[in-house]
Amino acid sequence: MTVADADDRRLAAAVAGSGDEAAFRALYRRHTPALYRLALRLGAGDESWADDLVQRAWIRAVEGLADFQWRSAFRTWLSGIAVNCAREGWREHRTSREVAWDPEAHAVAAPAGDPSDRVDLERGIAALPQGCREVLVLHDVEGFTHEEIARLLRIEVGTSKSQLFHARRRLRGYLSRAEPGSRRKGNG
Amino acid sequence: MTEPHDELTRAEREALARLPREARPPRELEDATVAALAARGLLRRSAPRRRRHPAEIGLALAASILLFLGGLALGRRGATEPAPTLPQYLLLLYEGPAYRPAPPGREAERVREYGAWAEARADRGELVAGEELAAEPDLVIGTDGGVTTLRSGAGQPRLTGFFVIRAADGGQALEIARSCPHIRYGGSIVIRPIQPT
Repeated sequence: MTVADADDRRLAAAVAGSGDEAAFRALYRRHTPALYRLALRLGAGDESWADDLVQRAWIRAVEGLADFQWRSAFRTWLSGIAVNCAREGWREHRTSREVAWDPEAHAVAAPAGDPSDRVDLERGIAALPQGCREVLVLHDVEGFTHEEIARLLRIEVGTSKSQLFHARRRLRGYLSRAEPGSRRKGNG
Repeated sequence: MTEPHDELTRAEREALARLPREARPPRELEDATVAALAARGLLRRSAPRRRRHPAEIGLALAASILLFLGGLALGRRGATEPAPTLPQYLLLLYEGPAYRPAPPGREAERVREYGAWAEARADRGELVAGEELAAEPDLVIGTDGGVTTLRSGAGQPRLTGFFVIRAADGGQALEIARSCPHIRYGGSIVIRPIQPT
């Protein structure tokens, strides 16, 4: 068990045992930046939707803390809850307005590499159909295995692999179309 | 049937690895989440920053029962003393055709959400007052002193509530209004600065 895991357990026990607000805030601050990035990606950049998703995920997580078996890292468990909350909210999200996402807007720190490449990639991911986007984000970005995704999304492992295959093809198609525009923009 | 197999190239893997793993959430989301958990009895709020009068505790309890009035009750008890020097803004909440009401049976959940938002703003000393407006037609006193009733036409946005907040400037007032759950559900909010007296 890592030090971070031990801290998570201690904080989670305080939240589950006595509803300790300070412990919750510590847990929240530790995990919400990653959760919020995941929510933004799952929601194709819709900030209001991401806010709502993060809040719902935390509520459900705290409700279920006492039953959490710690067979996975806390963050993995929390991400899984967020994905399931997201799936419940798709109907509402599909009817909402299109959003113009600026993926760099919430950056905690400037990552390496050309920002325009990252923006194209984020927008390409955002443009994927929901099922493909979920699997690609979980597998290629978050590092979940197909088996974990299948359990999480209650789908077959083969379905997860198939969704990923289609997601990558669509993403490559998007990037091959977006690339000339980005380069022009990048070159001024 | 074999499953499709399509590995990422090294460049693709590297590009995906360079995507940021974290994003900075809005500051108010933490307080709103804490308030939502507290409203559900899942968190015990830390010691209040000032001693509460028993009547205020009654107000807080009433807030969990009364629908949207939660915003007002919580705002009045003002867990943090408001900054009286900050300008006040009136937020007028409208529900038009795009507004998505709570599904049947989940109205209380929606109310708790608004209440949690109001409580979070009150905790920050930003909420002055708030009320839900009854779905009665408006009474209008004309220039001749006569009284008529005024109803919103079908499809017209209906004024359903208001908040009075304190904010440093219009930008912060806008930010506060944007964080209100009303926006998330397709409602609109008109923001008007209150003229200082």
